[in-house]
Amino acid sequence: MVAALGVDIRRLFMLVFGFGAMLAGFAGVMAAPILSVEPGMGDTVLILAFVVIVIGGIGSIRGAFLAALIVGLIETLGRSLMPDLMRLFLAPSPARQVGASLGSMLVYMAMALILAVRPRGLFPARAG
Amino acid sequence: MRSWLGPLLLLALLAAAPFIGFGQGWAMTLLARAMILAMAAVSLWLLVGGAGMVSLGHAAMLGIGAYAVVILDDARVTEGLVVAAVAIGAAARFALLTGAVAVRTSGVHFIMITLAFGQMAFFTASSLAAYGGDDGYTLYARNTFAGTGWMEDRVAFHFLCLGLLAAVYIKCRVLMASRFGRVLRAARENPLRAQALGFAPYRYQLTAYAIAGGIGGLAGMLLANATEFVAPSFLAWQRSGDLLFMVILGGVASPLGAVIGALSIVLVEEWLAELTTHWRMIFGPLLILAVLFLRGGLAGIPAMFRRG
Repeated sequence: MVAALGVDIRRLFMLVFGFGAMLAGFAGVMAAPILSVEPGMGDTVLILAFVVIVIGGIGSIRGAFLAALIVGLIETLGRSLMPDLMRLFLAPSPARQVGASLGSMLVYMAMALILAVRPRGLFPARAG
Repeated sequence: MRSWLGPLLLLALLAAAPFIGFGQGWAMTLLARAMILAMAAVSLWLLVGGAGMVSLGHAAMLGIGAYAVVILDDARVTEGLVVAAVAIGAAARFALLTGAVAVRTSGVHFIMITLAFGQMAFFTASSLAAYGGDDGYTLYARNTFAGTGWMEDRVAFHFLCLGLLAAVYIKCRVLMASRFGRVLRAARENPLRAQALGFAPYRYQLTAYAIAGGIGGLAGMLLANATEFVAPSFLAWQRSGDLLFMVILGGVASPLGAVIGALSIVLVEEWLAELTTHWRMIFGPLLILAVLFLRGGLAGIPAMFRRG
């Protein structure tokens, strides 16, 4: 329908795709000095980026921004605090292992929970 | 009758492989791996092609089957029939539990929620310190079968994998041709209309998810036996992606596509890796070209020629 209005959709999509890639490249410039640069450095970010988009609500820029902050906090705090938290209930050695894996899992648990309760994400894009 | 011609040809080719020059150790190992991954791909096809549910967490089913072997091996239970039953049961139950939540969603949300459960399984596996944690677990030996060690024999294992692959393939086709499969297809095409006809798609889709999980568990159990080593990387999301790619490259129209996709990816990968260390430079563009120009997947090539 949009094509009938005289918009070249292929070109539009190409430009949007290119613009997204440019922003990702910019993020890479920012990340390189503080993370280790290696061929697989995008893998973990890729999956987390998907998680952010789904939690925030697909198509919602405000949602992506807020969800990125939420996911970042859950991920970092989970990894650093979970092992200590687990020591309240468990012996030190299992606490470290259980805590570490729970910390990594926390983001995905949050996503599963949010999708189960609010399938359209936390901040759904307004229609129209 | 004609739709059985391709599968029979492939079956005959795989059955003849050990006797027409592929009988060396590495070739047999490779073929066994390819057939086991084909089995997993067929079970994923049941979801993607049959029910229209694109799952990015199928490696978890494989991993649960593999870890069933590890945990039972650690407990000195090595009877293959018992291990297989436990592996299938555990994977199907996991699929049933996670599916109860996941199947309520669809589209991108289904992909993401299956990915979430897959990642949870992955991190659980890497925290199992008693079974090697991140480093994995090396099996002492393959499972025995009815008390005998014939799974150690390469040719016997080859035909075991082939037989199970054929059984899984037939089961999937029979399932899709049955009333159950028709409801799945109806729900895929138009969920609202399926509901209006009086079917509850949720129950059918959840059952399909559990069946696919069970088959995935069986494949995982075989994979653990083929490599005699299990690591959390069995459950990594990249492997789920690989399986999905096998199904799509082969063609989602039929389970035969999944088999062809799995076999060709494993074999071409190996062949290219032998030619050059930079094989990914060739493999990547090949996959892109295949997706761009083979709309029906590899299994759709004969039909393309027939149309001319």
